[in-house]
Amino acid sequence: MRIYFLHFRILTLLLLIASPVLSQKSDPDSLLMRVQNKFRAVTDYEAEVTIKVDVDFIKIPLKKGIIWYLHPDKVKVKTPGFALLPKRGMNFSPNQLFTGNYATIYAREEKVGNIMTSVIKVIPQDEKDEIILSTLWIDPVRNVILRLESTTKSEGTFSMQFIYDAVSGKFDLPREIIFNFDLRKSELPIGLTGDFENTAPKEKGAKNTRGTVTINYLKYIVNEGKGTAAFKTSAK
Amino acid sequence: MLTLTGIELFKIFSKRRTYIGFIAIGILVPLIQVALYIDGTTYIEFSLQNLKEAFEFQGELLNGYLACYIILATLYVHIPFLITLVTGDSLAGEAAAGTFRILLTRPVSRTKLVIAKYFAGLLYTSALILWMALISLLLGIAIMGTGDLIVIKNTVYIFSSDDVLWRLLAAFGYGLIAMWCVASLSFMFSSFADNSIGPIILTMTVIISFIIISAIDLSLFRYVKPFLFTNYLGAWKLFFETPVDYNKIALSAGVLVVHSLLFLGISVYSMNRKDILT
Repeated sequence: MRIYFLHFRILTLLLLIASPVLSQKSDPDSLLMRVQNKFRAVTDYEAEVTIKVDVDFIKIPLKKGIIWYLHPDKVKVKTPGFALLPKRGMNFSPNQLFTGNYATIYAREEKVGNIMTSVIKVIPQDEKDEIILSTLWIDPVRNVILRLESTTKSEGTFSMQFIYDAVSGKFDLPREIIFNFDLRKSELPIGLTGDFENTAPKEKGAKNTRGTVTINYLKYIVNEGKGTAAFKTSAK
Repeated sequence: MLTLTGIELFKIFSKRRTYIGFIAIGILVPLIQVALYIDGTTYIEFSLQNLKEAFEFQGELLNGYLACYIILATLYVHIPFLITLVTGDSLAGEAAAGTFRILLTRPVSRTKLVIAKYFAGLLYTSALILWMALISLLLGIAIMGTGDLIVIKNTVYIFSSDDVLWRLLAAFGYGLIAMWCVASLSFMFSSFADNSIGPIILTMTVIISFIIISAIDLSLFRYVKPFLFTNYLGAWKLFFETPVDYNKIALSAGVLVVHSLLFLGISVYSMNRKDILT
């Protein structure tokens, strides 16, 4: 009888110790807050980037450039020559998740690579919001977003995959972001170069296709005022 | 042969009509470039509005390279007219002026004379294309600078600025071969006629008709298309693809060279058999 009582006490103690952890893991608001707090430590940064566009009807070489970020959501990219940047998601920062009214739902746990993530659904409550639903895969240990998927009203879905260095750092900024988005394969204009003799049969019923843009980040310079300086220069 | 060709060149450049082509290009190309400089950004944005739905554009697309490409793409159908003005007059002009008989009293064979005139025609064509390349490239760069080049076909190609110049030069090189073929055609027609208006109109009629046939996507025309030399005139655009299909370019250039030689052969044959009455 005494042994059973002892087992019961140990079990109760274990549950008491584990309960805050369990509740933290499954509390979407707390998770999002931790992500935001971690990112809030970054007020600005500058990084070298390489941009790779992978769309079946666009051929553009790998571009190198510099990206600047300024809290809360200002992003500026400069490349020599011409570059295509994804329209949706390029200036994404976790701070945006906390603007406006939204509802959060803890969905499940899911493995992304080797990391067990908490999947959270974020539903904006403002009807005017372009985004209908966002799903976030959050690493609850490092408090960073590993994946984001958003469904928009008019521009289909887009997703972002964040890849980080294996070793956790102070700011945990991604070393690679992969943007994936819907593209309408509309008929491309021919007026630009008077290409009227091009009689290749055009595809009937232009279908949607997916586009991928991979951005690699190198040599981050965080919180040294580089971003502020870059935006001051552009404001002038 | 060199002396003969030199004399023929001197004759070509002694005529006022020779300079029409140079003047036309000298006016038209800067005009297009200035218009592009003023309104080019709107023009490009309008053309790329579909792409703007998904992408943010970073950097400028309007530059001298794009202007040069647009000029090349727009004018290469019209340049033949400026070429035939001279090459169509090469043999028929002598007949019309009544100088053929005097010319043939010189101790030179008809074949040599025809070939010398042919080479002079090709050199005029080369000068015209070189002038066009220089003015469209140098003036374009002077006005708008250099930059990446966007080319819209069924695929959108964007070339880095350091990867553009050789493509443009190669395109002009190919354009030269294409225009030599046009010059050869008008030269051949010139060998049949006794006035230069006929060969000029006939050459343009043939080129326009063939281009129209090539452009209409009907099954009958599809079978005919590979046999029309005009179908190979625009192969310079293959330099603006990745990867560049060199085999196709070589084949197209080969077809044009064979046509040029064929036109020259017919001209020589025709002139040797021709009863010169003027």
